[in-house]
Amino acid sequence: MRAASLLAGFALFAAAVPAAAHGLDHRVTGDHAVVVTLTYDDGAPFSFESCEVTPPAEDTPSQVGRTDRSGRVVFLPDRAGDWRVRVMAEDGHGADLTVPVGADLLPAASGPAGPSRFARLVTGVSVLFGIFGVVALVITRRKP
Amino acid sequence: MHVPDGFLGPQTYLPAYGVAGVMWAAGLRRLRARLDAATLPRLAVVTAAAFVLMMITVPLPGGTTVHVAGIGMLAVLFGVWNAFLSLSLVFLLQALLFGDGGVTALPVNALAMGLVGSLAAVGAYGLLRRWSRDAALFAAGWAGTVAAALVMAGVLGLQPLLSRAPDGSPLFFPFGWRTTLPAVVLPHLVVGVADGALALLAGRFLAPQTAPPPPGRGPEAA
Repeated sequence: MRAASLLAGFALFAAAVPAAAHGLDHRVTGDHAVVVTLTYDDGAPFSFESCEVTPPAEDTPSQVGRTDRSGRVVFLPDRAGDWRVRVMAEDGHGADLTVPVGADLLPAASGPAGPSRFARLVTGVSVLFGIFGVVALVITRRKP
Repeated sequence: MHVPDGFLGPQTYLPAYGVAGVMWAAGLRRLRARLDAATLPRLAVVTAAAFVLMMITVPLPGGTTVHVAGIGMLAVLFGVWNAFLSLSLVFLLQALLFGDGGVTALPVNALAMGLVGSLAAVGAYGLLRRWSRDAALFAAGWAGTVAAALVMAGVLGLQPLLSRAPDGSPLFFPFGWRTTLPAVVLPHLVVGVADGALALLAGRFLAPQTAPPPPGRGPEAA
């Protein structure tokens, strides 16, 4: 009887050990994450494309995967510094971004919005005409 | 088709800067020697048009966006060298003002689209113009875009072979040719139709002011 009890106890222990080795606990928490949202020029989300997140002063990404349906990369920084976020589509679209994270492990506040796309377009056209104007002046002086 | 910063390794963009630098210098010498003040305003207007048109993106099925580039239009109207310099200037402004295309990738963008694309456009025009000038203009626009896409897909697909981390993972653009060739070239087979139509329109309506060039040379660059 005693031997049978010992055997049963050993069997229970042996069965529990592999179960513990393959067990997977989980917990659900709320936390502050950095969210980088990527869109094409027309506002369409840069969805389901490759992305990498690399911690400050490291070369190996701490997170690889894909952007979500809304074109977002979400990560939880564990230290302050400049985090690198790289997103790449197979057709060559993508971006290599630096995301500054403060000591509170939150992304630094974005600065004021820059000039609108239309304003930059007008600037570009103006600069182009300016450059060609200068070239014309030089040629006109050289060939009166 | 503009490659951003961080996609190409220094093994690619440093030699590309060397090659592009030589080409830019050669192009500027030709520009100084051969371009006249009467052509410059037209070149400026068409370059500005290409700059604006490249900013207008059209979504394609699958989530990507495309835009015309005006490579064939510039190459047929003004010749390879003027098109190369004009497009290089456009890419520089796009990189600085919009972040479209990177500064490190500038020489690759300029060589692929500005030089190879222009050469293909003028080559296609030269091959077909005796048969049909309209067909030649259309083919120039299509060929310029598709040739540029082929080069760009080749350069992107080369990156995993050139730069790898000790663990074997790619340091820069991670997709090989099997992925980049269809992903980059196939959409541009369609975009090339729009670029062909653009070159056809430009060749027809601007021809009285800027006659089509002989193969390989623009009228003002000849």
